Amino acid sequence: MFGLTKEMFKLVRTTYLQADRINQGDIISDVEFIEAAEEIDGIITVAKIIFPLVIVLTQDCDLTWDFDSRQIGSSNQDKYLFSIIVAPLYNYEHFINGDHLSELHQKMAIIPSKMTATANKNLRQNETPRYHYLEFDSTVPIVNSVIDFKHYFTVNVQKLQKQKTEHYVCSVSELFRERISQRFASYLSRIGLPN
Amino acid sequence: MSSDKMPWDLNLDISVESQKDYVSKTEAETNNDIDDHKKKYGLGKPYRTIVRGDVRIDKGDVQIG
Repeated sequence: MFGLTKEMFKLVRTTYLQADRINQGDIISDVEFIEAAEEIDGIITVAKIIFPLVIVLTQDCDLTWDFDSRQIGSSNQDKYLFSIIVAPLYNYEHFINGDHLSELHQKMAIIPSKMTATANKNLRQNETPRYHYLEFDSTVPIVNSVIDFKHYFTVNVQKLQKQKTEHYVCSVSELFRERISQRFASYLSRIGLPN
Repeated sequence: MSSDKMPWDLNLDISVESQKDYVSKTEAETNNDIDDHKKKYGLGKPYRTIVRGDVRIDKGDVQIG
């Protein structure tokens, strides 16, 4: 079929956007999550977790409105966002070994590395609601990765904007980002049942 | 992680520099199909860092209003 192979359809399409603003689907490196902060007698202690890669999940229209209203200095701040939703990308190899959070002293579930194993197949075919598997083409400097929707967090708008200027990697193309967004929304809105 | 402790009370022997440079070299060397960029961006793991400092401001320096 026009020289396209089945393998090519597995790859997530990405673009390198020149836009200054943050876009839904942007992948940004070395993003800090402020885990906790405390001030006692003038001594401040801040605990941060630095995530090597995150993807922006906030709706693109909200990001556009926020950026535009800040740029034009509108008379009210109705469209301003306080923070932007992101989720971490974990290295697939670390992820299936369950040691992707070993630096945080957290043991995670192990997924069989055998590609025919059901759990592994479900993960890579995006049939596990909590996770989204991504494979990038050779031009993108990211290994096979897994987004864990349970680990989403938020980052201050200006802080992430500043981070993007030095640490922007690429953006997931529209169709693929919409799929990620829809799966994220679906995961968050799931109905929790008791055991 | 104990849920009743703050991150800085965990005594996790955090070494920021060593964790910042964390790259699984063994894995990178054996995985020949990834290029240098992928080694740089793709092999890191999230790590924790604790920052502590004195933020005391003399009352005379504080401007109100």
